[in-house]
Amino acid sequence: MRGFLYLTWVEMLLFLREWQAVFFSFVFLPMLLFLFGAIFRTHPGVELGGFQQGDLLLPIPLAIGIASNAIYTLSGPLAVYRERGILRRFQATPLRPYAVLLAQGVVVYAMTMLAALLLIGIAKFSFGLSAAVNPWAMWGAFTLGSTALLSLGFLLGSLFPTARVTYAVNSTLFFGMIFLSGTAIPWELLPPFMKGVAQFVPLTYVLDLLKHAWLGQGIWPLSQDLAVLSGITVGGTALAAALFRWD
Amino acid sequence: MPKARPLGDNPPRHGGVSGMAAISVKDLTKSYGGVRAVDGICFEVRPGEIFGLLGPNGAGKTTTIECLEGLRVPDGGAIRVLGRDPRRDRYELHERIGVQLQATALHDRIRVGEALRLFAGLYRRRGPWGRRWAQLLEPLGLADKLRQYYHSLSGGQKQRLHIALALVHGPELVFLDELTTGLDPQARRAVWAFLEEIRDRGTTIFLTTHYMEEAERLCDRVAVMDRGRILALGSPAELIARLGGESRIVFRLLPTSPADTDAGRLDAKPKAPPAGLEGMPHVRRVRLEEKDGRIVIYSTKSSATLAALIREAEARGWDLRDLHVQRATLEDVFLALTGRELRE
Repeated sequence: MRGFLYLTWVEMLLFLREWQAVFFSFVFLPMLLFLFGAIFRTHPGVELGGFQQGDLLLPIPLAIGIASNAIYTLSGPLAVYRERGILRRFQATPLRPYAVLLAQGVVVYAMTMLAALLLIGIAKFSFGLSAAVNPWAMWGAFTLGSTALLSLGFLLGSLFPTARVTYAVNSTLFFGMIFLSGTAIPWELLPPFMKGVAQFVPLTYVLDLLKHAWLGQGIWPLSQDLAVLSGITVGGTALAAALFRWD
Repeated sequence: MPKARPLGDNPPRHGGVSGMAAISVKDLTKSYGGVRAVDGICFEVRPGEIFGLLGPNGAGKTTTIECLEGLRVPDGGAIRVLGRDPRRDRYELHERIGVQLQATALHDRIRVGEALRLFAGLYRRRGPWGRRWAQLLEPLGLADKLRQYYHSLSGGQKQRLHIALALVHGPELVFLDELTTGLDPQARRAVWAFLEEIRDRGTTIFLTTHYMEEAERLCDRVAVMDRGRILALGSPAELIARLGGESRIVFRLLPTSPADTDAGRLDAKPKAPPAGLEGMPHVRRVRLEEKDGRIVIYSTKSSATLAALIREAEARGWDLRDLHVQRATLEDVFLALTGRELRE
């Protein structure tokens, strides 16, 4: 536990010193919000069901932020650490695999949370927000979505010996997910076959949960989303800790 | 715990030993793709000593030390480190040992002070310096580097930081793999002095090296390793004494007439040491160093041998060049054991 806390502290410092991850979370994601805002521009007077444009846009960059941080920002550094022998050095200490994984997970979760708050602020200011959000439901949706994708990140960060292989696999997974889940392309526009494929993409459930939570519809009725994401979280994390390779 | 075989014949250097070895290794083997990197080695390390594994690159030293650290799974044999099995009890053992790996790194953007705090934080135990890092860094020459990023350190500074990280929690036993590789001679001596101080506080040190001088100056006992096997084990003085010649008389012999060499060139190197040297008093062995053509006589009584050599040279009209007497070293031990030089 001590080791986990110290490692988390160091990983937090390292995250803030690496400009790429900071840039992505705090500059690129807001840019995505504006981009989607421009693509799905609504004309004044169009009936949005009592919501404002920001309410409909916000879940998209949130889901992309959760996915990209969990997939890239988490697994990439682990692969680099492994390649450079840093993990091997940790292997000779009392640190256990799950402590190494969770320290990364906590940092990525906290940074994604900050980025999400920033996105909410920008969406309110630029596009208007009027949904009656239950903050606890929203936090729950964000957290469960994050843990599910982080557990996939744990797996990606545990399995591969080199950074090159890791980046090849996580890029495939990331782009596959955002295009096949109804995130980059709205769910409503997907043909029936692609909707079927989307059932197998974890990000689909994350986006669904985020949308419902944000639009104030509650998350408890979404028992399928909750079950799938909980299952991925537990299964992925356990598998990653078991298969974790130090070198 | 298996009854350990007695391997050395000296009493422990530090008294009060309970008879329990810090490390005991029996019939350790490890192969990589059919090549036996470690081929059935046995040894014991006593508590409170500096024990060195000396051998050339590829001798199997790193494989051995990594098996002891629990980082590699041996193919066969029994290992006990501080009475524990390095694989089965590795988390408990890792709490009690310190490790410096041969090939390792840290995060580029971690500062020296942060790395020390991190590694100190990974252990429950505390080193004698607590959090006064200067006390740990001073002897390693890093005291003014606390705020520097890892990537801005020189190779030698990184190496010394890794030594500090191995010691940061005050381990009972420290493993150091090629600890002074890449250090300049001055830094190397400072590290040796520091490790002796650590040893005198009761820490056992296990190290690997291919520097003969390091093994000889620093280690209480040395195991000479080559091609996966341990060829000899004892204190450096014992190993040298076992050679049977305690000093080496070294010289070059200039040919006095063109007929002495094939081509008649005066700078030609001799093909073999001149006959008759073996018969001189107290001579154990005579050898020609092919590299520079120097002749080496191993003698148990250098003054008498030297006198005889000079008489011989006078009588035969030899021109002895660069004549000097050296103490035999572990280098000579290695040479005698393997027929090859330690430094290829």
